[in-house]
Amino acid sequence: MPSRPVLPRAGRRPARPGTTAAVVLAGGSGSRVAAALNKVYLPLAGRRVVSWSFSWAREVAEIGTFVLVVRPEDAELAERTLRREAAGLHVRLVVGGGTRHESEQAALDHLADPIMDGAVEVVAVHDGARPLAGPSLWRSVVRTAGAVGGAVPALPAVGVLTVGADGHPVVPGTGPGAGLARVQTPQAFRARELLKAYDDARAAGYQGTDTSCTAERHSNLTVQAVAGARTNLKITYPHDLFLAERLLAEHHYRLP
Amino acid sequence: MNTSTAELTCVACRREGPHELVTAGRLLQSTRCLSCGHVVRHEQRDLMAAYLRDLEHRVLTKPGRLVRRAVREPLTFARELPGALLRQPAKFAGELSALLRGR
Repeated sequence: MPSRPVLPRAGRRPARPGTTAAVVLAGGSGSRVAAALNKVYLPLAGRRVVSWSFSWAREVAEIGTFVLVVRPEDAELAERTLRREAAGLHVRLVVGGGTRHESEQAALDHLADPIMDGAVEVVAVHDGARPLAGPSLWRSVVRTAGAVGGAVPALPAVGVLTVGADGHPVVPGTGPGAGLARVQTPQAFRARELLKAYDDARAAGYQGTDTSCTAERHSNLTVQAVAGARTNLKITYPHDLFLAERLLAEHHYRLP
Repeated sequence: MNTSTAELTCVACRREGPHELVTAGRLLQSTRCLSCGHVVRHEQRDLMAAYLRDLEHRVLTKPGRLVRRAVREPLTFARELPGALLRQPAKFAGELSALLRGR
């Protein structure tokens, strides 16, 4: 596929209302047992896990386009879920690939036209298994990306010990591990540069582990860390579902 | 009481595999790893308190949800409402009974 030209930058200004696309990934690794439900469609406090992400993202004025990336076998369930739980919101369904990177690529290909004509200026990519990223976190990454180029939510990697080549621990605050952080989603980037980065990555046969990896490797975007949220957990273990349910109840189902 | 199966990572056997999930109303009651049988469940007293809190929220938000559905799909709503109303008592009785049994 020929690479797309990167048009001149819009300058360092925040994203305008309605010009950000929220991309929620619900594709997974493709290695799941056929009978088991994709965890993003599990019920959580009255709606499916993935629906919560759209509930929070739709509260952010800058976000005007919504995309859900699904596995082919989940398309019908995704459609039913959105019809019931995201009523009034036009969510575009995109069939993703076998890896996270391919799913991101599929979403960006789908958005290529609105990105190139300027209707979409920022793209925020989110893991559908993180239902507790509230509106303030979405807003924070979108605004930061509009201003500097890219934004990822991060938390200090507490309890991480860096070990040097000699096998000895590195003194905390020094050495290569000094700035370690745990990265979350949503991750937001200026749309044209991100699209170009993914085109270049495809041409180079590169697959990043998350959006910021590809953006940092294949673009000149400045990526800034913003404060992540401890409650922005990823549903992985059974306990996570219990905890997410409890956190939602404690916030009266309205996250900040 | 509803059951479903989903892919999660077991804290006991550390394998990512299918888990059976049991829900009461819209609350998760327990999970069981289908590989090793490890069960995670709500403490019974916690579950009842959580269920009652959740029930209050369901009841308070029901009118709004009904109106939204009626506006969105009026014909389907009108066709399904009588049956849904008739099913409610048995549904709540079933949820409470399952909670009290502490399955």
